[in-house]
Amino acid sequence: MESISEDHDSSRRSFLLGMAATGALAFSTFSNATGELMIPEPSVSFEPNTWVKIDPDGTTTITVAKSEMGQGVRTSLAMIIAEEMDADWSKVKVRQARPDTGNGGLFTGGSGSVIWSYDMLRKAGATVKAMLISAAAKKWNVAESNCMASSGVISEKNGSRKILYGELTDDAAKISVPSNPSLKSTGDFKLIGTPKPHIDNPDVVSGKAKYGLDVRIPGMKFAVMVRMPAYGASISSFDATETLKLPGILKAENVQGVGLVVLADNTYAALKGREALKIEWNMGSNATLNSAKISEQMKSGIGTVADVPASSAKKIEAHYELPYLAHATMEVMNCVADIRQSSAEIWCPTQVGDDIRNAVANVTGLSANSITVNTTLLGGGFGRRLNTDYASIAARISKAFKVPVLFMFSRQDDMRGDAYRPASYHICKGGLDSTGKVTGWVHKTVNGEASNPPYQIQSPNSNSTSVGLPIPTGAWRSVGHTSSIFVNECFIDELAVAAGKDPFEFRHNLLPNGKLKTVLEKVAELAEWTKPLPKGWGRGIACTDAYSAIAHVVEVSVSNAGILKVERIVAVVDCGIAINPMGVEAQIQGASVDALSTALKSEITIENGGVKQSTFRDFEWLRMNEMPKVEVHIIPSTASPNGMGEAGFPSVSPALCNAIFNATGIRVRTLPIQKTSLAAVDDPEINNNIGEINVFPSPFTSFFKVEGQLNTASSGEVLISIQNLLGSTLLETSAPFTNNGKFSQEINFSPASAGVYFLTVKSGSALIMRKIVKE
Amino acid sequence: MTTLTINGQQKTLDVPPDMPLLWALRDILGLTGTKYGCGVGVCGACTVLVDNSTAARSCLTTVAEMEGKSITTIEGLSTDNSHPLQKAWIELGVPQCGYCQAGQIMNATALLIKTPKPTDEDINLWMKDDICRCGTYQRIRAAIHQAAGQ
Ligand code: FES
Ligand code: FES
Repeated sequence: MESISEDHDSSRRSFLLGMAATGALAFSTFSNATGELMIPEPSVSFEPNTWVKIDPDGTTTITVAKSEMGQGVRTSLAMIIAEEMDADWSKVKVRQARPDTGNGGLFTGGSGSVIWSYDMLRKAGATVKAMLISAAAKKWNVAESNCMASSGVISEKNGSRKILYGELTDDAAKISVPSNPSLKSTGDFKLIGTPKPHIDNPDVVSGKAKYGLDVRIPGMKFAVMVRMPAYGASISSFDATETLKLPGILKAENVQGVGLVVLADNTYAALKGREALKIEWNMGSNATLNSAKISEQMKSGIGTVADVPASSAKKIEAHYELPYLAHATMEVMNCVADIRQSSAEIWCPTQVGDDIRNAVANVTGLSANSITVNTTLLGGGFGRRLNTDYASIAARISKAFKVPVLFMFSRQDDMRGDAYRPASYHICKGGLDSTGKVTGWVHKTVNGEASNPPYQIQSPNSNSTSVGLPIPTGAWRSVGHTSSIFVNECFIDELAVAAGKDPFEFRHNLLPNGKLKTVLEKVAELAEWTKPLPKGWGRGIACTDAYSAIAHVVEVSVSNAGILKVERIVAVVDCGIAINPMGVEAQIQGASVDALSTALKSEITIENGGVKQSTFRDFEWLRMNEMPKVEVHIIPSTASPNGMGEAGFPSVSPALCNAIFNATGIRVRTLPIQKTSLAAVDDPEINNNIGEINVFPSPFTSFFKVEGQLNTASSGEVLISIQNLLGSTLLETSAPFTNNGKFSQEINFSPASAGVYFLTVKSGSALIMRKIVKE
Repeated sequence: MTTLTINGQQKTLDVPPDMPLLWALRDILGLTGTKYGCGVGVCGACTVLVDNSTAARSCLTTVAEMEGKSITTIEGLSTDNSHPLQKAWIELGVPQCGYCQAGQIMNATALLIKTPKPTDEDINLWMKDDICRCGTYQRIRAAIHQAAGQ
């Protein structure tokens, strides 16, 4: 990093807690949110991922071993320790642990950080407090029971003496470590359960926070690689002459295990140098693969699907299809590697610090314990940073060129070089008896997940199969639940409707008593489930207990033209004790955006053997103007906490599709929703008195022509715009009138993703809107 | 050579004139608060303020175009997080991963310069091209209102 501030000053005696499981002395170094290295004094190691350091000035530094990617873990884990030790929260700082201190346990995923750490961190905090109390009691020569701790101060119960934690560091260090400190009862919690902004926010809003891409070390160069245009493609020849003429270019050559790499003095030079390469490709055996073929392969690969009992009075069958999804973290994949002769140092935004160390050891031949890995802040994770590809590449490049490098994916590399949420195909069958009782449930999927629904249904049959495809897949926020719960919660809705029952009542009757039933009841109450809605509006409900018990109601309105507005989302969650309710609320709001974006508009498609999308223009994300109000209700609880990183996602999209059905009678079974027209009538705003327009070809792929005539206006120009499913304007242009209000304009709409859009033609008060379809 | 003012300090940059301001800030001047999100003008992560009046996407703005101009980056918004937007962002807990937030704050700064008391609709229109992958929009909207004293 630019500055290495050594937090190591022998005149400042720090009380380092290490609390002793092993009794071994360990030197540990850490980095904080701004990336400065902090080198504390020797400590006795206690727990693999827990340290508390109290400085004489009262600054309390808590070490967190889990990666911060927006889920607020640096705040919530610190809160757990600070609670039990009764620290003064305003004096708490957080530093990031490293794998090379021998402590391990850096894996951050599966919504497990809080679940796995809760008991251990409470004990760590309680130990600190017990030792501080012992130290104060000794100093004052009073019984420990006569001392109490609160907000960084020990005070005498039957007296007036007070002492700050920072003033006790010397004395506390002499106290032997208690093995079983008593924990608070949850009713005594003062910090846990109160809303706290993320501890790193001051660094984030001042621009000081350091992500992987912000690491700068002396002598560091910038590297990008050439990615294959298709899975299995290879370079048959290349010419780097033009590249090497450009300013700032250092190298353009093959690196073993990576491929063609451009090394430069800065990112711009590296990207420009890459563009200037002349490459002949061998497109390989997947060159004709596309999404349509993948879809066919999945459909034909599903095999036999079991039937519901023949005696069922009513049988329902529905097929669902979900696309590949990119993680598209806001910060692209990157890693800084400094591979030296016999040691190495890595700076990396990763969810798996330990795996990164092993991966770098693997590709460099260095021993793992000679490699230091610093976990920076992560500009989003969502599961993508459970992989180690970016670090292996950085390490190989640094080793080959013998310089420290910052290796990065461009946005396009990142979108095309992901391990995607798998595309999947699902067949569901359900049976009902004459009273509307469920007699059978079958859910079979290809390449997705099928788990049994939480409902009391006799012998549910869920199973999955797969077809091999060259597209790499990986964990994506809530993993298999993204497909499994979407399908289950849509299909239970279909059964409810087929049974002539209210979708809430139907679910409610099938759920055993417990948390899930409670959150379902509460969400129906808060969302005013039974309150009548205006025409064109609808409500949908869905629930899951995949991570925490959670239920969503989504309210939508759909215009005659088919423009959708998500009016309101209500979520009710029981996540056990909410360590930081502000964080829980943020996770549920954020997961709603994830779910709406992917349900409504985004998908990864395959064309000519490779990923077609390249940036947020064709992998569309929800925007400010499309953001509904998300109301979050947390069920009060004192039970052990559950993770919240993923819980907020799975039940939003099915609730949305169920709401669309409720509003329009249209069942959307293929995502993204924008591929389905929600229009009640095809050309809603065609009025022959105003004029007419023609669009061709229809459907189109990239370009189309719009021609027409407006009767009411004949001079000036006509404004042409394109709106998406949510009514957001994506393109605006104008065309002059020729004569008699005639106009003609060719429009390039190639960057947008496939789907149904709306073309609006306007002049003065005359307006014509027409549905257009992009393939 | 391009001379421009960055966060109140005059700087001379000896870089190719077509280098986007984004990379000059990050790789030449070490001002890494301004972020790379897409490089093609569709995410807003790289937004800076030009001449204290308009927001610009630094990935699409060349260094040469900025000759003689005054640029404010997130690092220059205040020295102590005292800008009303920074205060509101901290208080309302806007950031999740935080990566997009420099761009969000700089664009919101330009909005408040132009429209000191924005409505929800003003905010929606002004901020709609700034992507937050973590989905912090609801709190961004609330924080802009709070910073505007609404
Ligand atoms: S990086 Fe400039 S708009 Fe995305
Ligand atoms: S806070 Fe993560 S992208 Fe906005």
